[in-house]
Amino acid sequence: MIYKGQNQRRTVIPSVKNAQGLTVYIPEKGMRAGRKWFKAYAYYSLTAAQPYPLLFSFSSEAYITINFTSTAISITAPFTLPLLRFYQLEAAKLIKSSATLSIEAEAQSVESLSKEQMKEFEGKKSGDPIRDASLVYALGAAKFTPTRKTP
Amino acid sequence: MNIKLIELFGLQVWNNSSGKWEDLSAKNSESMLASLGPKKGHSIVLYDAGVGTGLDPVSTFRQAMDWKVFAVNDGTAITDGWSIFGDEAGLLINDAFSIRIRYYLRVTDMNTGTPGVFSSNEMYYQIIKVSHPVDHIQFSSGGEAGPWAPMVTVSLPGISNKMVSDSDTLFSWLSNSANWQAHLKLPNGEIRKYSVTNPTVKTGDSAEPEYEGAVATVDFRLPMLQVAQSGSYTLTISLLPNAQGSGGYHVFDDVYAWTATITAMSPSMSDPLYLSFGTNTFMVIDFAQSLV
Repeated sequence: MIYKGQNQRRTVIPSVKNAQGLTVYIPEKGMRAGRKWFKAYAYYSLTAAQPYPLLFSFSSEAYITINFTSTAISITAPFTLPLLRFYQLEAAKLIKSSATLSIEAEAQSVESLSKEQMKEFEGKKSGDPIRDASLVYALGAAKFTPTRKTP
Repeated sequence: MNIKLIELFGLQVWNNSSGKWEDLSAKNSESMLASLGPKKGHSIVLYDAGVGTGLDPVSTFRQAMDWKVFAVNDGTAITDGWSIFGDEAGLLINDAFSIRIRYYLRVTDMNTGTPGVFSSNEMYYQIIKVSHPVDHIQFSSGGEAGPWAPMVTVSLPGISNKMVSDSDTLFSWLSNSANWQAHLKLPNGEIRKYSVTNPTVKTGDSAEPEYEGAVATVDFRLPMLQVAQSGSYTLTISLLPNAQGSGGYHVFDDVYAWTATITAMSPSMSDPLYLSFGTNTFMVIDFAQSLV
């Protein structure tokens, strides 16, 4: 969603605060060609690290080796910032210090949701933190199926 | 999500005179000086995708960087021809040695909207133009009369706790036995290669000029060297630097050379045939000592 007013350049995600004051971000949904559609939010991070903290060179030239670790997560369910951190931790568990790999979460497709899940999601307005948490976990974490890519 | 830019930023150099990390400066071919230090807006560019598709983060990135000629990003443009060496104030003199530099890594992705910029939380270190005194390797004595398992101590410029807390943790490369080798040259010219055992690294402050403030000493043991013939032996130590391309092991000039005198006892009997009327034989055996 793009604000057209004062914060014209700022991209914001629609959100509501639940009963405990925790902001729950809600992906946009709509209809496209007669089918329900959810806008996936991509959340990604990239870290760069040298395998050795100290490089030795007997000249003024140094070969610098850098390994990258990237994580990419797509979310179409309501989510909170703690949930994103949970995803990141789950991704971190799969990362071996000696490996360079990329982790991508499977994008949530609306077709994969059960009728019960859809009903609960569509009926969601705000408020109940317990329901929010379980919903987020069911729709988000349950679909979080990281895969590895190695060089 | 490919990578557009890889940079070193927040660069500092150890000034042994002031005993502090100070902002690293550089000049370009037009002698314009700029600070590469933290929050100064300039960074060193290791990789720039330009109009290309960028770098896939799945692959490991490896790039040679010469601190005499590199590219700098001033926040508006990337220009080549920068150096940290020169006569101007703030630069390192051309014959500076054992230079310690530290920096953060920063990666920018190819996003055409708002590019993602990711910075490392930890600093990385380099010691370039590594220098040391002529006599910087100590060998335990031995080998003059037979097999010998030497103890070796190699001293190199290091980073002490005065410069960085827990500085020992920086030297994982030196504590890997695979990065060390020993070669023994025998009197007949043959050269035998030996692996080292259990290298351990200690760091500390040093007043030795070549070390520029701190030394890293690496202790290790060699296996039993076969000293089986008399003559001249030479034991050489070499290290694989972790910041070089294809140069292989760096062979140190500080060797241990010695002359071995190996003797052997040769048995002989004065009479080649003994006669005995009983079941007992009284034998006389002589031993002659000779050089091998």
